[in-house]
Amino acid sequence: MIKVNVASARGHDVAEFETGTLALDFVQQTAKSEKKWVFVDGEIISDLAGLDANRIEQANDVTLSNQLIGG
Amino acid sequence: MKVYWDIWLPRTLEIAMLRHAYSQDDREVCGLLAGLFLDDKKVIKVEEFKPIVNVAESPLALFRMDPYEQKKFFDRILNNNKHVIGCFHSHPHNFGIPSLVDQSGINENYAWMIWGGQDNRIRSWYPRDYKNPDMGFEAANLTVVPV
Repeated sequence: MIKVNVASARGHDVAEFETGTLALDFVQQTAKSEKKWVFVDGEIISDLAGLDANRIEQANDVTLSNQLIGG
Repeated sequence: MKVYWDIWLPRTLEIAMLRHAYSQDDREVCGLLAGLFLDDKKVIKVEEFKPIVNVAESPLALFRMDPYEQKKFFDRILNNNKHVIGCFHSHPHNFGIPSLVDQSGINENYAWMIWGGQDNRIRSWYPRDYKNPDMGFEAANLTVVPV
């Protein structure tokens, strides 16, 4: 199983996926629609479209975290 | 029944937040708050203030918390079974009232504390519905306590 951590002020939730492709789809859609940072092994992924399923499968840690913005 | 948040802020942390706001003159500053939810999560006791670097491209009008510092703070607080209970930022040239940009940035069910340079005052707010930013903010009661 491939785990994706979803961090928020309320705590960490974990979403599990059977394939890297499913995990990638979740990561890309959630990051875009809910304005989240994507960390793969501690590194921010700035080019979400360039992220591939293989990298998600090989990663030790995939975490989504809210972008905290305002003005 | 009206939902109502009461925030207890130690004077020492208020001073730290003010100093952080003063440190950047015209630029907005930001930070995160940790502490405890009491009384069915409607009372917040602030226990820690952590300044976070503002990485917005236009810091004169916006803030965007440094994602690495933000993640490090969240990890430390949550791994110690504490809570991230709010965020702080400054409006150097306005009052501490949420802007439309602030409203669009609602994505956490926690307090927003905003310092306004117009009256040198920190005001506190909470989102009416953090899953629906269009609902905006409600004013929270901020009590500065001695310790």
